[in-house]
Amino acid sequence: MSQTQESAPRASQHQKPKSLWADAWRRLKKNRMAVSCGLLFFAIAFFCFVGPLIAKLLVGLDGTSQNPALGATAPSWSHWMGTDSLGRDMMVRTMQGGQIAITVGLVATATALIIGVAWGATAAYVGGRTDEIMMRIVDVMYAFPNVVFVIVIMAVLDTQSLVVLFALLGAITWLNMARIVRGQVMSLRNQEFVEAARAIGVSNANILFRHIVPNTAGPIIVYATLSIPTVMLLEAFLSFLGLGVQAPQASWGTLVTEGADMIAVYPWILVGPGLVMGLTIFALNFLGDGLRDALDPQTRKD
Amino acid sequence: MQGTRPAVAALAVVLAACSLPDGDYFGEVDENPDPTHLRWCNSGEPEYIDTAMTTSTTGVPLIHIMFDGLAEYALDGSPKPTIAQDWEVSEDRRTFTFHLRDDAKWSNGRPLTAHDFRYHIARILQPETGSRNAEQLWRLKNGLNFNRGRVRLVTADSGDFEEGDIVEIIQEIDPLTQAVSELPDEVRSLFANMFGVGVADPGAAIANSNARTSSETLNLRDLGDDQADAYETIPPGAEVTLIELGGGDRDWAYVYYPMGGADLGIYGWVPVDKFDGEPNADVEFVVREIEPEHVPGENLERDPDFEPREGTLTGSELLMDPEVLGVKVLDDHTLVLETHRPSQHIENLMSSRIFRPTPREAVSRNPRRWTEPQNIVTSGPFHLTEWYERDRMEFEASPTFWDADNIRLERFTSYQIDQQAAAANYYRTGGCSAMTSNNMPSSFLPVLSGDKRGGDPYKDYTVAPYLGIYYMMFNVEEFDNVHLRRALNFATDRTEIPRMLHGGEIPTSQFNPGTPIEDLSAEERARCGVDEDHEGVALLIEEPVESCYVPPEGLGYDPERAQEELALAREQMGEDFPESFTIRYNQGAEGHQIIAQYLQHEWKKELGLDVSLQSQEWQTYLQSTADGNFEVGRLGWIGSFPGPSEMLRIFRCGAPNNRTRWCNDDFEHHYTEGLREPDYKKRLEHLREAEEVLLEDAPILPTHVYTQKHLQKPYVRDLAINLPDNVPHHRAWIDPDWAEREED
Amino acid sequence: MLKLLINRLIGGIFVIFAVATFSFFVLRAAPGGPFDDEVSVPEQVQRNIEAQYHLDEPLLQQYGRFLSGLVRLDLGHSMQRPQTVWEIVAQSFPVSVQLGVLALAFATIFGVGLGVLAASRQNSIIDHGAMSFALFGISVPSFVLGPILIGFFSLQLGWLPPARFEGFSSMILPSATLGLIFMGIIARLSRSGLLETLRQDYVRTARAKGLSERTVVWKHAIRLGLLPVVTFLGPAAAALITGSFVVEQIFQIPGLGFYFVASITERDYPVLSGVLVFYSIFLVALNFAVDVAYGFLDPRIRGR
Repeated sequence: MSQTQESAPRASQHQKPKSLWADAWRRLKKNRMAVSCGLLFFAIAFFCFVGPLIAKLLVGLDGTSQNPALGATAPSWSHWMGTDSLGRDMMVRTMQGGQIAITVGLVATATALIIGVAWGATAAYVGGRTDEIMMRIVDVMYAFPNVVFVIVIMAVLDTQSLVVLFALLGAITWLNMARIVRGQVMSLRNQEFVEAARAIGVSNANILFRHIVPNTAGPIIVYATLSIPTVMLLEAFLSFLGLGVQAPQASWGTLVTEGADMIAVYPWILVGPGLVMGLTIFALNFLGDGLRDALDPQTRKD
Repeated sequence: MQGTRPAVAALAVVLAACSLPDGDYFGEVDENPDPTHLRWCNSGEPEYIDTAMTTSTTGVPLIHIMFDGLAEYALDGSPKPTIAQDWEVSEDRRTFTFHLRDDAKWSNGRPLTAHDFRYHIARILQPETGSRNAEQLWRLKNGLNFNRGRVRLVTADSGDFEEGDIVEIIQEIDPLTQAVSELPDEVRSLFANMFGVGVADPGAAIANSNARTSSETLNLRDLGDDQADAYETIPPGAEVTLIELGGGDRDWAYVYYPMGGADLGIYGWVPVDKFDGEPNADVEFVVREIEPEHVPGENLERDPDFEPREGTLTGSELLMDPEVLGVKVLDDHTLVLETHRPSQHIENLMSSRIFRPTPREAVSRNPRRWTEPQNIVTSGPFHLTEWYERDRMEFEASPTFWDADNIRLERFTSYQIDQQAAAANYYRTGGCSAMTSNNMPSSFLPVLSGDKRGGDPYKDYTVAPYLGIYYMMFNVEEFDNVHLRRALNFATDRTEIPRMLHGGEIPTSQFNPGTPIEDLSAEERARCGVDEDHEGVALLIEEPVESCYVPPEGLGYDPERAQEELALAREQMGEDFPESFTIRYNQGAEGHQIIAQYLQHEWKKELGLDVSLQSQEWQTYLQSTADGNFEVGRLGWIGSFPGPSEMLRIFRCGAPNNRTRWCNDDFEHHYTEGLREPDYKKRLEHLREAEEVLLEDAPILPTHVYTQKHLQKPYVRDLAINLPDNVPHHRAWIDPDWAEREED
Repeated sequence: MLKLLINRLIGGIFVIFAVATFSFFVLRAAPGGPFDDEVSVPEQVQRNIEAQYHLDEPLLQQYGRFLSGLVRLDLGHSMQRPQTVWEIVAQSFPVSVQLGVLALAFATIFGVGLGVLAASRQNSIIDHGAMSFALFGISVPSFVLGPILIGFFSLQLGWLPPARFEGFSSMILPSATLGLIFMGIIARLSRSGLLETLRQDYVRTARAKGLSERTVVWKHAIRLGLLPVVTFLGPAAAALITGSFVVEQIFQIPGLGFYFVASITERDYPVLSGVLVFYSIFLVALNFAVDVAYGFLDPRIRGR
């Protein structure tokens, strides 16, 4: 509704692209909450990816060797987050689960990003009948309950490989991306700088992907940041249905599912991974909000 | 950090939530429970409560309280006669004559007679019914062939055959196959190989020789009723299937018409003379006389001296008629069953759902929906009054039940709670007074058993052995080296399993489940001929004769022999030795994953093999193991009554549930010898030899005997716990004075 | 406006057709069939059962049969239960609606409340607190929240039943569990919507007129400010029905969500197609209703 009102300042932004990003960075830094959430996310990622190496080197914990005789034990000095029913260290399992959860989040979002941007930008730029058909396809897919889609496809493919999981989660999150990008490109395609480029004979693809798409980066970054936690929750939901990663691998989703099952008996199996997962999702959402405030002029605070 | 605050709050809630009941009982107990009403947590919604259709553990207990039969279950789980007052067994154990009580009634007042049993048995075996319970009735004369739709009564003298002969259809003659079969052999095999024509498909559907049409409107009704009492009409010209002939002179026909809709079809009686068309009258079939002893599909060698008559008959000369079955009605209260071979298990099956009749008048009108409260007709101690889908079913004591005076409960409620934790929580907060044994959440076991509390189990929790075995199976086409399979068996220390699963599982290397010998009384050990140092389990058998089966020892944990076998396997297999392979298991139960992970870990440790795991959704898993698309998988097998043949039959050559593809002549030999043996104790010896072959050749790796886990409030009495888990729920009662008794 | 609605309707029918077609073919491509079981039956009996459900026909013929049924609004017969698809829907959908409406009411009341509170005190500690709580709602999966609530309110305090759906007290925990994530989203949407409206000229005018802040927010800004919430309610209502699967599982509620997953694992082809078609009809209708509501709420659209 208010898209057209906003397009004027945008054209002028293009002339000074550096100031846009510098401006955004300055605004983001002022948002201490968002910055600390960003740092927290990186800290958790570091914890997950480097932690297991340290645990292995220093205390020889690997998260896969079992000790059925030990079984589930409450947090202690030798196992800070306790052990699960097979005697595996929950902290290392949580870190390893984080590696998978974060990777799934990032890769699926990247997949969604690539499909969504290409789809949305093409639809909007070509316009007309093509646009209508492409967006109708998006509408149809929207009407399909996406989780059902994933379960059916996983049943058909009879696989639980990580690659398929990435692709499927990406395949159901690109729809929003396509709509957002289309909206942005629609408002940009008739701007003066585009017409100028066209006048000097720049090819359509060149105009689209070199000139228009970079101008939609703000909303895309915001949306991408926000879709990582969504994907993580979806992965957790699939784990709840038993469609998550294969044992003995674990993601936060499978760990939390296992923990929720045992909450009455071994609460620490839920608390450790649940807390870290909750914090991550929380941090990413907050960071996304901060980025939106900083990058998206529509909601920019006066 | 602001973000941590909610998380900390959540943590506090979690820790508060995990405190366990600290009294003697896991569930809340009621000082003055209602003595008339038992509230029971079932493990989920039964798809059917039709005795012909139900196979699920959720449906079977409910049909047992609604439908009476030859026998019910006694407290020890063995059959206890109800409608059958007494019976005689012929010398060769092939003819069983049951004398039925004359005061059994349906809930609509109609007497329940031998005719009802015959109808029910034929209904289960009708291919159109699609019953999964049919397998138990294959032992009846012509049972299997009837179920396959391949047995016919000859209705007219023709060629070598006379009216009244019973024949088996070999194939339907279709013109193309016929033409090809007359070509020279070389040409015919060319056609067969290249185009697949001229090959008779043994499983193919054949023309329906019982199809009939009428040029009039057919009025479906109960036997002998007037046309005016019809409950449904069938338009002229529509094709119906003749199911059986009845009435005094076989002048009435019971027909099925697939009319679609919610019931898919409808049944009913019409006078036979209404029919004037027979669509498949001219179709020709190749038929053969049936060998008296031979049951097709059961791998028994044919009698070499028997030369069956063969010939070609047309559809009009053949009728698929329940008359051919080994079930006869002598009078209203005398039922005779005939089996192909000496049968040892009819007495054991008397309380099974195959001998709990269904009411024809209700089934005819609504073949699928006759079990809904407004349609249902029952014969047992309880009658269904309300059914809320996927929530609960209400039952009331039935006044028409012949033994109603001895039923102490007035109401019975079944809560269909499939989520295990929800069921346990519901029990804990007092929603139900007892839970089914197969629905205990595995995560609660350490608490219930007292392991987690460092004390005794809760008083309302009971663990007992169950007549089921958990085993890993090898695809012997992939693992064709016996030493490899034996090495894996020897390398597996099963004693860790109960410590991981916490359910009191009984580690075993034997295939037949039973009670641990150390738990038997001295008298029972004497019956089994073992002393108390003997390891493993023994199976006490009550029917047909009091006996005991002690399975062979099997390949238990022995790291040294594992290494020896491994070396042999490596040597013999050379490059084919699988250094890495995959264990498949199905999702849905946490225990499968725990066991698979444990084996992965053990086989790496003991044998240095790299094992990966793959879990699959249940349907996918069934398909891939049935297709032989696996290396190592898991399965469980539950026997319906104590007896080794029930367990061992799944490993016969090509048996539908033999997913290992194992086929062993020695095993077949011992098993077949056992089946032919009329003396039960000698039979057990043959079967023990068969099991010995099975365990030594190791297409499987048994891991543990299942256990049943029960939660029952202390005031629930006579909700019996027995090895086959056959619970006579209707005989349970509630003791309002339990608290006083407790103090005594 | 009318033309827009007609366009939407045609688009909706196309969507339903596409969903029906996809669901028809995709599950049949999965390994295994509805009548495969651990205990096998003779091949011929298996074929007889399949024939009752027309599974012996060529795929295209089955598809034709399915489509002609669909046109007559006949969704077929379950292959696992003695019921038609419509009977299944008729039994379970009202339960889902009851749960969904309660959850949505919970989410809307608390979500809008939090959002308005946060927007009217922008950047204050109240704003941050309310938004943190909203984010917390979005960050916790319902299968974690549900057991925690049960543990605390049912097992520990004994206030509310832990399972089943019978009487108002049993509906509180499931609808709170289901509603919390939507509450979070609604709180955020209403906060940003309201903030944007508060910057609009007409609101500034109202303020300049000297109206109290309360009147400005509650009488002038809120209607437009909540438009994003209204847009969200359509898909949210639909998502509540499928998304309620987890909550239905945990609390043992006999709703429709169960069949979206069970029909896949049981390979019950007509039920999957049926519930998906029903779902898309429902979604199309809801979106249609949202379009109408939108036109009513936003005077700028109503004018066109």
